[in-house]
Amino acid sequence: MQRGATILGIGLAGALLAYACVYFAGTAAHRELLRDQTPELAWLKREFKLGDAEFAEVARQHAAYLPQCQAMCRRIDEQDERLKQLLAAAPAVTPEIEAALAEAARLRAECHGQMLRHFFEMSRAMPPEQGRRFLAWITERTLLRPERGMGPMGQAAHP
Amino acid sequence: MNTKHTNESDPALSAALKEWKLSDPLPPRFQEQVWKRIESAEAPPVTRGSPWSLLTDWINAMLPRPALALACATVLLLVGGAAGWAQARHEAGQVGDELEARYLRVMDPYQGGR
Repeated sequence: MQRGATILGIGLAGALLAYACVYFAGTAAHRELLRDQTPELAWLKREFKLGDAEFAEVARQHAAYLPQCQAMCRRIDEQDERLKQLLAAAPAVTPEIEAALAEAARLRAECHGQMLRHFFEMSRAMPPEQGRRFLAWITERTLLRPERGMGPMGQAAHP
Repeated sequence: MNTKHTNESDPALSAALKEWKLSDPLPPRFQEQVWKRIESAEAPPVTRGSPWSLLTDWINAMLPRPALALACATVLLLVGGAAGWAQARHEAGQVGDELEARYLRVMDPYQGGR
C-alpha cells in the first residue's frame, strides 16, 4: 500500500519539477526583455535580429525622434482643441472652422511625413532584409491602418 | 462460516486443550469465536467495490514492478514537461504581443484614438 503511493508521489513530484524547469527555461528570454529599461526596443532588437551596433544606432534614432513626436502631438492636440471650441460656438460651418480643419489636416500630414522619414531612417540602420520587413510591418500598423484619419479626436497617448 | 469446526480433527490440540486448566471460566462460545477469528484471518481480502479502492489496489499491485514504475515516471515527466512548454509558449506569445503594441503606441500615440 505504502510503496505504490510513494512511487506515485515521486512520479508526480517529478512531473511538477519537469513543468517548472521547462516553463522557466521557456520564459527566460521574455523575462529578460521585461527587465530591460526600454523593453519595447529590446523586443525590436530581437524581432528584427539586430546586432549590437545596429541596435545602438536604432536606439539613438528612436531617442532623437521621441521629442519631435511629442512636440508634434502637442500641436495637433492644441489644434484639435481650437477646432472643438469653434464647433461648440458655431451654428454652421464657418470659414474659421474650415481653416481650422485644414490646419488640423496639414498638421497630421506633417506628422505622418515626419513619422515616415523616421521609419525609413530606422530601416536603413537595419540589415537590408530586416529593414524591408520593418518598413512593411510598421507602415502597415501605423500609416496604412484603415481607421486612420477618421473617428473622434482624442489625446495622444504619449508615455 | 458454514463449516462447523471442532478440535476433534486435531487429536494433539484436543489433548492439549483437555490438559489445560483454567481457573477463570471461559466466556460464552469462546471456542467458536476463536475459529471465526482464524477463518477471517485466513480468508482472502475482500475487494471493495468503490472506484477509489480499485484504483489504489491497482496502483499498489502494479507500481512496485520496476518496469511499470519506470513507464509511469516517464509518462508523468513527459506530461509535466509538455505542459510547462505549452504554458511558456503561450506566455511568451502574450509578452511579445504586448511589447509590439507598446512600441507601436510609442511610435504612433494616436493608435486606437483615431
